[in-house]
Amino acid sequence: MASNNSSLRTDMSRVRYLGANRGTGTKHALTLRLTAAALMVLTILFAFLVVSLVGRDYVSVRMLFAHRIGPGTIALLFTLVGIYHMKTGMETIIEDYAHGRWKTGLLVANMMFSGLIATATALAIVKLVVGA
Amino acid sequence: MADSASQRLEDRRPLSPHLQIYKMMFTMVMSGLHRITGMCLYAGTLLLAWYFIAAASSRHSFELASWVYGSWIGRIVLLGFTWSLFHHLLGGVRHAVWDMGYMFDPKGRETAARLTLVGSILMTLVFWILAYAYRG
Repeated sequence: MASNNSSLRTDMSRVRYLGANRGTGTKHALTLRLTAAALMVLTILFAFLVVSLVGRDYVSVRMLFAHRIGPGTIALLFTLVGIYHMKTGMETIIEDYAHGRWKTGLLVANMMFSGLIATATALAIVKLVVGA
Repeated sequence: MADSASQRLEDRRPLSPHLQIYKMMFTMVMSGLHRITGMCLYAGTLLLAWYFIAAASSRHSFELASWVYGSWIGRIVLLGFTWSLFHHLLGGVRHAVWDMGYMFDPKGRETAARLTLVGSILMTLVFWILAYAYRG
């Protein structure tokens, strides 16, 4: 069947009946917005935590996290929600500018970087809270 | 409609005008800054991770991290980090306002962009004043 020149879509694309984002776009956009809404609160809380951390020495920082559950909860939530938002946002940037192999490679690199930073930071915060 | 059958589909696709075509405008710069500050925060997570990992590791590694953050170059980087954070935060609020359908008119979006910039500078100032005040 000849390609219809009035449309830019390929025949295969019409057969599959999926859009440019294969139907995952809505979830992606909502993820970015819901994590953003949560971060509007979490960032302010985390900023206050940082203010209270400035100038503290090693023992005082360890005590703060080991004796109360609040600072660790704020730090962990900010880290996890923030990095999930960051990973999703970077996917949007990569999909805007990179194509083909570059796009695939950068998307995988983004996943690995975000996963590594999130895991390492979360484990460190948990260690501070349990005081190990 | 196609001029020649050998022409690749990509070459025949209409291209939208890009950055160099448009006149620089305040709202456009602010839109770009939202993405750029987002990318700065991406790199900045390394600083966030380092602080918590150092505190969880040992006194020595914590003191090294504290010394780097407290140095003048460390403070400048952290100043950029906090401004990026607050600028991106307020940019998100602006996008949420647009998602609800408000401030789309020329006047509204100019005001929103101005509020984002002024608000981010004010929030950064308040944060650093509080940080220095509670340093003790």
